[in-house]
Amino acid sequence: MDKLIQSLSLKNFYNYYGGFEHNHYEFGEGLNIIVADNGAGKSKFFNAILWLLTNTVLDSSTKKIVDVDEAAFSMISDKAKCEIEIEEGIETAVQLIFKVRKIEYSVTKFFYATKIKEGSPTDSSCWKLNKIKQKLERREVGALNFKPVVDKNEQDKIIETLIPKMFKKYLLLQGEEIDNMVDFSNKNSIKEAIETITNIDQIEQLKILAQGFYKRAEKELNKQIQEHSNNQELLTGYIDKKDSLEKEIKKLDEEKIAIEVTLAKAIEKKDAVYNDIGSVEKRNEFRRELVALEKEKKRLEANLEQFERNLNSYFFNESYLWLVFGTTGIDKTFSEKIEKYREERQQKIAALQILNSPEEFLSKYSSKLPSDIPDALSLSKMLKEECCFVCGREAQEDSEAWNHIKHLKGGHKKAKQSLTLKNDFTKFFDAIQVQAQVCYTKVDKIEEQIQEMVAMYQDIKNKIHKTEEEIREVQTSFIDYGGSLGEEGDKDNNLLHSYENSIVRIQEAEAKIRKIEQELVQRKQEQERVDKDIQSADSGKFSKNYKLCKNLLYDVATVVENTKERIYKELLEELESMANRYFVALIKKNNANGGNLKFSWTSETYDSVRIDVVDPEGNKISGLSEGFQRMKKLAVIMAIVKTSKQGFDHPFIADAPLSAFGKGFISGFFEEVPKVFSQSIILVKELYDITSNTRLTEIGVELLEKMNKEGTGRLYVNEVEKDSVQTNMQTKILVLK
Amino acid sequence: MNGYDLRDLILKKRPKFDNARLPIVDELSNLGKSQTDYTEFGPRYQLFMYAFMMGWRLKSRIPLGEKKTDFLEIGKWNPRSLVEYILMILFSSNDLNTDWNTMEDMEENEVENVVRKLISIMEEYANGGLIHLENIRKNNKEEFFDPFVFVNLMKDVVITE
Repeated sequence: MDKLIQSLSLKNFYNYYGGFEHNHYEFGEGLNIIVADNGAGKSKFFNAILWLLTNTVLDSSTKKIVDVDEAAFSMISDKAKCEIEIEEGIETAVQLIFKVRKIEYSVTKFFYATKIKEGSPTDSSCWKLNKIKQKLERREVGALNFKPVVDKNEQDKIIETLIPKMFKKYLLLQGEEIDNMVDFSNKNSIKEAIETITNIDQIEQLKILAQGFYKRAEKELNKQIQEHSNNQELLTGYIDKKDSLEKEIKKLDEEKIAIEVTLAKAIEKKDAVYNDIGSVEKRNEFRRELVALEKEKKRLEANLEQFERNLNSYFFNESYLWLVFGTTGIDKTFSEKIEKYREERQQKIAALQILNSPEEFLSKYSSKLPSDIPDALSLSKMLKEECCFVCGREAQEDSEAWNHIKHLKGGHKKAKQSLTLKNDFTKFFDAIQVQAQVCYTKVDKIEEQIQEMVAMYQDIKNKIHKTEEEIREVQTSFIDYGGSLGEEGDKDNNLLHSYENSIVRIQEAEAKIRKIEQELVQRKQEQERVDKDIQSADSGKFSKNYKLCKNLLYDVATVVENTKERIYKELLEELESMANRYFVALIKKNNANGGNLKFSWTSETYDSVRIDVVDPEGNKISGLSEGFQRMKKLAVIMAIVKTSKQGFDHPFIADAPLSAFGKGFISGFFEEVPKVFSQSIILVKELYDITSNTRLTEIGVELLEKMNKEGTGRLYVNEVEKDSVQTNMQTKILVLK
Repeated sequence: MNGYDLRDLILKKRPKFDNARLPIVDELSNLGKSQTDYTEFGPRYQLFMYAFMMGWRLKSRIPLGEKKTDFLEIGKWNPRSLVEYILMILFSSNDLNTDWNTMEDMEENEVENVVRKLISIMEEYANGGLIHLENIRKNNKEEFFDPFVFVNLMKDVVITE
């Protein structure tokens, strides 16, 4: 190929922090792709190309193309700015190496900025910027060293060869600009496209010349007829009438053209509003979704906050009691202690009994009672049955034996009453054991509960994250459908009025055109009559050659006019056919029926063309998604490039051409682009998947495999550290192919 | 004196924080105050119970300084079961160094001294726990932004116990 971009290097340019060696891309023939998520440097890369080729950049905040001098300060890497001390400097630069046939060129644009005082990296008053400079060097392919090209005009001419001015709007494609770029209901849009494709303007010159010659010949003829007429006065009247009619016809033609322009604008406006109206319902749907999602997000965030606030209460809540986590065994230790306490206490009481009345103890328990003294219940039974269970003898009521048993029974009561301690804490320790039971029965369950709570917490956080992602997706769709964040719904309400007004303006313009056309028909009929009157007054004696000349020049003017019409028609037919081929190819992987592109002329002079999407029966299909609209325009761009008669061999560079595209569109796009452009550099988000090892989506992986197999092109992934702040932003380039 | 009297004696006590710990106490127990960015305890006694458990797990009993500030009496702490569990811990341990049976032979003023010692042990463990929290707060502030911070800290201590 004739023109090929070989590499692009960036130095401290936006988030491309560091030198050329850290921010270097190599490119080859065919498809070259840079995959990057939002904020990872796609638009900045595109700005580097814009700076190199057009001395402009796209201001991301205003979405306007601005002169590079205006944007210079914001172009310097914030990270680099933060690392610099006072009186130190930073170089910001971009360098493109490209080949035109057998010559390689290296163009570098750069400037220096010096920090003059401390302050925020966004405060330009802390910095002094030097003038932007440009350096261009060349060498024969294969030669070792580059040699400088000093002359600035020559430098600019060389840069221009890579992508000539007339092609820039088609070949330096910024996703969001496509809609403005390809607007075939705009009179100049088709004219520019046709001029891009061919040298049609030469035929236009020829047409003007031919008509001029014919008019002059006709004037000369009429002059001859007048000079040799018998009734000069009458003939002068005819000629004056003819001149006057010609002026009126010219004026009416001009009026008609002016109204046609108004009509084209009104139709353009109507179509634009029509598309918008088609999107209003969709936007309202997105608005409703956004409201619901925001509400859900708030609910989840409130849940999370509540969860976090409540978390410590699980330490004290009787159903959880996390405070006792890991204290297994305390109850056992306490139980052992309380058993020991009770045992010792019993022994102490027995000891106290003996200490309190040792004589009574000895007389009652050592001489009369066997070692196992019967209890009070047994003694009562013995009294009742008048029998001693110990020796087996009778003990009749009031007998000595019976009275002894009675005495023993009374002795039990007496002994109990006499034994006391200073304090009795049994109930205190018993209560501890009972009331703390709820705690030590929980100990073994806490670990599991904590794990459940952590999972629950993570679940709420995941739901918030998912809702935020959904919000971002709906916002993207909302913007793709013409919505603007923070915008009020009133704008959509005004669209209907705007649509109705456009229809009224179209009807008015069409009525005016019909009226002018009627008047034109009348004037032209009148003109024919006057012509006949002039002819009838001609004797033919002196005017024969003039008449021949006039007729000949009339034929020439007609031929030229017809030729121009034919060329326009053929070109547009070719464009239509080519655009349809690409349109079909681009949308073939999409399930929905995209229809066909239909080019229709809105002016007899072929200056204005409208492109509609129609079904096979020719009925206009409306309400197509943003993706289809964008594809339609891309197809036309590809057709313009492919139809070009001037020999087309320039690189195609597109930033985010696929926003609003579904999977089907994306596959179609990457399949068709290399067929049209011998080198393309596509900056794209839609192939990025952070969760994948390769950082590519399924389609991205397929593309990479295909590129590896074919051995063409390059594939890079740009990444920035997650959640990094602007002042620390740094794009890392991963080379996948 | 019976078991009810002893319980009453304990429940009427108002434990104290060392005044040197008040900044961390105010920071971490936040009932009725504006909320901070991290999880907090409600009333002071909750933080006290948490700090006690931390100190006890760490075996960190640190006597309080001269200046102290008391707070709600134990009888009003919730839940009651946790108060009982803390008593269970204290009476199970050797810190009190008083046999339960011996207590039953004591005069009332002697029992009161034991109760005072019991509360003092409680305060010293809580003080040890609070100093541990202070150190972590100082050295790993970001750890406190995790809502599970107090669970994690507790688990950490159990592991090293």
